[in-house]
Amino acid sequence: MPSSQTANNQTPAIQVESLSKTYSQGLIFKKRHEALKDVTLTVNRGEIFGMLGPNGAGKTTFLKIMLGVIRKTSGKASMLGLPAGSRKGRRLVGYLPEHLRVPAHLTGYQALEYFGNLSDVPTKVVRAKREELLEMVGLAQRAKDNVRQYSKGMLQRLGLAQALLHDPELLVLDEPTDGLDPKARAEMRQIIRDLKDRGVTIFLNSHLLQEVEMVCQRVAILDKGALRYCGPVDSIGQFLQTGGLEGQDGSGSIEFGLVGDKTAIEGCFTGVPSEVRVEENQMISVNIPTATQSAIDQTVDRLRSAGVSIVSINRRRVSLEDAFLQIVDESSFKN
Amino acid sequence: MRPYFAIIVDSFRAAFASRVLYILLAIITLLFLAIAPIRLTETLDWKLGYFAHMPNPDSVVERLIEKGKSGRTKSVERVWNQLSPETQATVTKLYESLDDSGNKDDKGRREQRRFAEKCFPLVDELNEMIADRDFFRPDDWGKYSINSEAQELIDQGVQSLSEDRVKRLNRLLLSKALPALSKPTGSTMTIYYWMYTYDPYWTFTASKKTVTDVVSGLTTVLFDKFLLSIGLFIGIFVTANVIPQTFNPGSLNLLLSKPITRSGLFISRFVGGCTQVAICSVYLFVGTWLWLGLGIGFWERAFLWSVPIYIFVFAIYYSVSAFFGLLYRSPILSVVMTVVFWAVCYSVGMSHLVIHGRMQNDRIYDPIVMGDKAMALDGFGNAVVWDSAANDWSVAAEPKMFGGPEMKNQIAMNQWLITLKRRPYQMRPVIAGKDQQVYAGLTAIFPPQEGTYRDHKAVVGSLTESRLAVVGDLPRNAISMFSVDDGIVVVNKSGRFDLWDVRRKAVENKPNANAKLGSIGTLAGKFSSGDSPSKVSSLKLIPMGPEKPVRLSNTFSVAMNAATQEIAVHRYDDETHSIVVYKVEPNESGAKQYVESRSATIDIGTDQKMKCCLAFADNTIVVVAGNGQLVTVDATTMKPIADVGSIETKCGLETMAYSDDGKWVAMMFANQKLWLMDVDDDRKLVQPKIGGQGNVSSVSFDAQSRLCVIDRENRLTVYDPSTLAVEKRFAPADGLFEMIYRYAIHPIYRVFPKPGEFYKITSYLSSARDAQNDRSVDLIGDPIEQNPLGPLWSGLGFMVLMLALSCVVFHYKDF
Repeated sequence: MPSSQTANNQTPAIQVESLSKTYSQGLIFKKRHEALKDVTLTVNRGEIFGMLGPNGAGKTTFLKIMLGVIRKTSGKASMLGLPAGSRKGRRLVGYLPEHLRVPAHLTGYQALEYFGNLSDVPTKVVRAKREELLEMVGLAQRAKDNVRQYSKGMLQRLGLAQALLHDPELLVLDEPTDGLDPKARAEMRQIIRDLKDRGVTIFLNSHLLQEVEMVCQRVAILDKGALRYCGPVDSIGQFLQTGGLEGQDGSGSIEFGLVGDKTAIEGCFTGVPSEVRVEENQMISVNIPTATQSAIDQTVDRLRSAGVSIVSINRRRVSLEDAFLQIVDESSFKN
Repeated sequence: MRPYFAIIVDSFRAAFASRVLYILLAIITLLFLAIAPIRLTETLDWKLGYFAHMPNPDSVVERLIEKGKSGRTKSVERVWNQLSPETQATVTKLYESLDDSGNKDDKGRREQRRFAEKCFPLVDELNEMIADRDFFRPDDWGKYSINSEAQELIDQGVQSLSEDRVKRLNRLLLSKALPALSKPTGSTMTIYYWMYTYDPYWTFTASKKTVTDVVSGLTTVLFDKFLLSIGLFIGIFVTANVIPQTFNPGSLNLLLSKPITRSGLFISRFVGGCTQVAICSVYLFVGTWLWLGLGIGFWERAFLWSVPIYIFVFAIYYSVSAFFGLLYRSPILSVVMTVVFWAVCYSVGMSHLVIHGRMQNDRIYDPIVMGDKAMALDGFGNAVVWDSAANDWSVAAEPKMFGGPEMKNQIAMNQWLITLKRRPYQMRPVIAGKDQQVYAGLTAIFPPQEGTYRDHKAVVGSLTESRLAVVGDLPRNAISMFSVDDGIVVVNKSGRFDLWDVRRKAVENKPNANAKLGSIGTLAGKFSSGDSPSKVSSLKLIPMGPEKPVRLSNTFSVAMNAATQEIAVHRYDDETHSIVVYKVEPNESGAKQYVESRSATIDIGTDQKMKCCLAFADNTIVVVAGNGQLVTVDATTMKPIADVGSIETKCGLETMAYSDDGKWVAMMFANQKLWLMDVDDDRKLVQPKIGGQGNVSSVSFDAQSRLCVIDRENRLTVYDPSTLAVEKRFAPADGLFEMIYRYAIHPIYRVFPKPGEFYKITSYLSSARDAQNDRSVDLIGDPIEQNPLGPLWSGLGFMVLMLALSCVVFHYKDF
């Protein structure tokens, strides 16, 4: 599906180095605001990359720089091997803005023609594609209706369809599930996964952490303009433990549900950092850090030898939300 | 281009989806419904009556025999051949009876009536000819023999014309062939206003020209006062939101993420904003044009120029609205700033109009230079001389006489409120006599309470003393003076020449009882060292012929060769333009008389009556016709000289001058540009590169054949015509007023859009341009817009500047 207009497909989809943006306001007494501070990150081709951050973190500023809506103050930024914001680069990008405004006098079909033409796609080509795209986003039945009659969710779907008209190599989605009902969200997630399978790189900007966790392979967390984390979603717990190493695999803990003598149970976990808690139903809950399968087997053997009944064993991961809040809280505290 | 085209197409869609558009279209439709019942019917005059249309039947008969039967004039021959043998015989007999009677002017009324009655069969057959669709044959009528109305009908195709129109055409052709037939009147128009029935609701009758003029004037006024003001602001209000709404984040971010340039986006949006107004204006103007054509038969294609002009004027203002919309993203602020801008343009335009008009009143004309002394005439007809001490022009004589301080105040007030126009073809002063005195003919105006009374006063003075005095009355119809060895040849309008022997004293006259001579006395006392009014006298003028004078149309239709004292005049007779040269010969009593020496017809591109201005330099007579045609004639052989070149001014001549040495001819046109012909250099014609081109008031040559040019109202510069080097300049220093005008108001005016002048472009395209290209139209004396398309260029420049500025702001602004 993606077009092959770039000369070099080996270059990252997005690459920024020490990217900074400072806004100035006022003619004489200039008020400066640093929206991005020295951000360095890479988005690989073919992945689904999420960008997270609280309000005012600099996510939109980052996107605007990449799309050429605003200019960077310093640093390097490239998109698909081309300077960020260049016309050539924009030709390869599909963009769904957060608050999409479609001219109210257009129908769904006309809107696709309009946006397709804006992306330099001939009307003939748009007409050939629009049925398939509208079917994909679930808007085929309302294509002839005026967009004035569309709900917010329908506008988001239309926005996604227009972003795909010119077969972009990189799809930038700003809050794509905003305003969608749960079913539609699930459909949107599936569309995103399908697009990834077709080789499209997806850059997702969202407040909905669960959505990001569900579809993204890697995420970046921005806060107050600074990059706090950039790496796989799965490694975020490890990052929190190690203090910020990118790329390490495995994180979280193992929870045992046990019934037996508390002293005997504690004896089985001697030498292992553990947290023992007696539940209301006389069951004892023990949490230990994630370990190898053989270490777990040995622990099970010890427990059985000590006559302890094993009710349950659960591997517990650190959720993205936990990590996000921890990272943001930490930075708030530091600042 | 596809993305930008998409934006413009989207603007069209938005326009068609807008309720405002439909409201405007509905209002326009109501207007059409109101005017649609107005209809005009045209009644063409073609019938030839027995008496009414043939007041001089003998002239008709004479022409039919002398020009038609003999085959000398093809058109008359065609008429003759169409007559039946019986009628031909009758006409021949009538012609012979004319010869018998000798002097036909002496026929009695009864005899004239009897003669006319004998012509009835002729009139009947002429009426039959009028009805004949095959009467017109192109070869029978020369290229100038068809007037514009007939030509228009011929262009439509004779076979496709209605019967009435064929008759009208043939009637016009007959009048051309037989000028003694009275000319058919213009067509008569009846205006109907139908309301529910097909009976006229009310009617009135007017000539087609009157109706056309009224409709043309009304449409111009409506265009200027309504559409270019109120209509413009409606457009600005309606479209004020187009640019600001582009900057809505959800819209702009998506647009800017597309592979388009910001400038392209802005310009496309700007063009798109104009579409709504374009739709309305196309509907309004094309609809009005169709109504004018179908309803009242006023098919004026130039009227359609109103569409692009209106859109263009709107676009100028819209560029301001768009700029502020981009800057502040507020439709209200855009509208407010546009209104402020309009007010500034209006103020600049008004200031320019008033101050320019005021400065025009300082213009001087007809310069005379003697060494370091100079004299000229101002717009009032006053003689002014150069006062080197004051470095300014000062009034040397004041032959205008006003009734008192009240009238002087009124004149002073008028000077501020109106632009004074120079009287056309004011007689030029000359230097004559051994003592090289200045002789001028100026107009005296007596106070209105005594009855308006004008008189031509001859004034004489010395530039050395900077003083002129009234010495007597010139003939009222005197139009030109030429200096000769023994005095001045005064030429009057009837074509007679008189010698004013300046050495002889004027004969005293009795005071004119109707005139307030006290005023003359005051002036005379002031300027001629105590001469009393009773001494104002008629000049002693000696008639110099010629025997058959030619009536002259203006000061410049007569020219004298300074070396030979031969006089050339322009003559229009029997639809033919010709030049007649008179030479001086002593008569039986030894007195000098002008006698016709030679003549030649000239081709000025038309046989219509037209003013022609002459210069007589060396062996060349230069003729500039009112239609702009330049003809040069060899004064010896009287044959036209080919390949002289043409003057692309398309406006009337104002002044013509030629040097005494016969080497140079200067021409100044209504566009205030000067042309110079070097007679010796193969009569090469150039627009000399001198200062003030385009603002020249007058031109002359001094006794040394140096070129004297007045520009910038009252700056007189003396040039060597060969090198165009400045030899002397008489230029008053600019006062504060002039400096403000010259260095502030005028430059701003040049750059700023001129909303109040755009209607002139439509007028120019609809009438003036046609007139300028019509060889049968005399442009001399016609007011001319110096630069009718000027507002277009300044408006375009301003709009491009605003758009460029907007693009730069858009390019560098973060959103």
